Amino acid sequence: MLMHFLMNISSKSDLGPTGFIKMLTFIHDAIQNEQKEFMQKIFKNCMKLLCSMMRDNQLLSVQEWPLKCGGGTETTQNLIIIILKIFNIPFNQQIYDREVDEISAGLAKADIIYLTLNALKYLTTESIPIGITLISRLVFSAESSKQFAQ
Amino acid sequence: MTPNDFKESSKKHVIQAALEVLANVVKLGKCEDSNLDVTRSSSLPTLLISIVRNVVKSDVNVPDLMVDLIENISLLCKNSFNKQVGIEPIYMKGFIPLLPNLIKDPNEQLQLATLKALGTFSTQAAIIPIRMCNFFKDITENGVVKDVCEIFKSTPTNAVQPIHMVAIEALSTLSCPVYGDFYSFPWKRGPHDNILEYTEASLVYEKLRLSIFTCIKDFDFVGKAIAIFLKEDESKHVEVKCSILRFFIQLLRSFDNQPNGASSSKVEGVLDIFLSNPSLKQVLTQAAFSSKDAVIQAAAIQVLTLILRQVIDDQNLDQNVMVLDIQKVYLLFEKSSKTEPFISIMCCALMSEMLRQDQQQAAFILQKFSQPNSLQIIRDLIDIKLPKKGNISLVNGINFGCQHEGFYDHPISFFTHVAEQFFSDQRMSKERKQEFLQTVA
Repeated sequence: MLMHFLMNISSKSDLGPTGFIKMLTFIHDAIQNEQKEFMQKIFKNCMKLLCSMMRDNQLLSVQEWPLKCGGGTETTQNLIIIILKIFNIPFNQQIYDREVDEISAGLAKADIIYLTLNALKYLTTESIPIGITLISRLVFSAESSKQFAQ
Repeated sequence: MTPNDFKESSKKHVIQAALEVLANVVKLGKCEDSNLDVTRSSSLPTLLISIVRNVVKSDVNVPDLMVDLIENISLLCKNSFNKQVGIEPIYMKGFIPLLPNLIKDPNEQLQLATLKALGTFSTQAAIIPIRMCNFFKDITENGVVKDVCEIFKSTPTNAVQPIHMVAIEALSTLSCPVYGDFYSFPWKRGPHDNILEYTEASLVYEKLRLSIFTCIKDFDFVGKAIAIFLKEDESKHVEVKCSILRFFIQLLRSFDNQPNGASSSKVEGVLDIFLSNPSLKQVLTQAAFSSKDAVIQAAAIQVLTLILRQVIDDQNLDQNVMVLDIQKVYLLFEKSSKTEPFISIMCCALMSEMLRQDQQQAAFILQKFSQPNSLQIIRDLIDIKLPKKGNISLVNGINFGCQHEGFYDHPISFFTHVAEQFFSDQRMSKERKQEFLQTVA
């Protein structure tokens, strides 16, 4: 149900930034708790959407949304952080080892490196490592990248 | 006619009869071609406003005629209102400056008519709040707000009159308007210049709220509001009750006890004032669990939620100052899910707070929400395929164009809080976690 909600998110959705971040928190927690089937569905159906949430236009609109109504700089940071954390999980847990290649390819197609680097400017110094970790995981998990890195 | 002419009862009656006809024409008349609609002619309000102005300046005392004039001016303003222009300049420049004099008049009927007119103008202005920002600025600066608070202050707790009801309705409309345009939440769209305009204008709205709070915080406004709340017969009307609850909600939002960034103001918090009233909790729980009106129930639950949130967040407060019956809340959540899902949505917010207030309450909630039927209710509440029943702005207001939260925020947040408990509780067996996740799946 939450996935369906997420897939249909639009400017007409009656959901504030607080609820949206809570929804992503649930997705994060479920994947973190080794819900493999759920993870596969989320990465298959919502990856592009989650990536699009890190585009400048989207982030700027959350940033300008009034603080009292759940928007603002901190919410923008939290939005980026939770998305990056979701993307990081498969690379950190053994249970998802088989899916990592496919996920890497999907993320690469969605321009994740550019989006992550771009999103760093919204983050505080303490949160930047989350983005850098994702980039390094992507680089070192792909075969061609390994050769390049060597 | 000059004001002195109204001293003659025959002349006064002639104009009163004319005003009655005009009021009926404006209310009941129809004209297909708006260019031919005489009620939209600017000469009518110009004339009426100039009569009011001249009478105010003179020593002629004709309150009954003034009441008729003010009612007609309000009607004409409503009639000519459009979203492109807002309240027309003739009213802004001619009538609004007269409000401070009119509202101070010793005649109660004239005060009542002025309060009603203020309510009408405020409702109109809130439809396009940014464009009408000057209206809110003017009434804050010209002292009208203070006068409305004085009328509210004069409420005798044992003999509430209509004027007191209208006064608190006006204060509620000014601080927490309900009807009007609001911006969509910031999803799948770029930044919006209008939001920047809103941010700038919100200083005016906050100043207005602050001036209201400053005027009322020095007297027992909660006690007086409760007296007015109880005076309204719910079987006949609910507007006043709803206005009072919305007013409470806005005060709790704007004057939060917490000195963090989420609070809009650094003035003394409103929570202590609410908690010091001995009957507030009873009145709110009565409204939440026994009212026949869904908006009253939902709004009362929202007030309880905001109070409880602030109690829990305040380290210096005893958590027992606000203890609610979790079984009642759960039953209301369950019972309303089919008929008034809007109430169930508000119960989600309250249960989110109760979940973190007390371990026994948390255990009850987790036990209930590890069962498929309870989770199915939440599932239905966030199912976008089902028609959305209820309008959250009837409870929260529209916050002058940027809503505090959306319809789906509470059930989604509550579900996440419940899930968090299952995920993070180390004592919970892996099987139980698995069982919960399977139910969710």
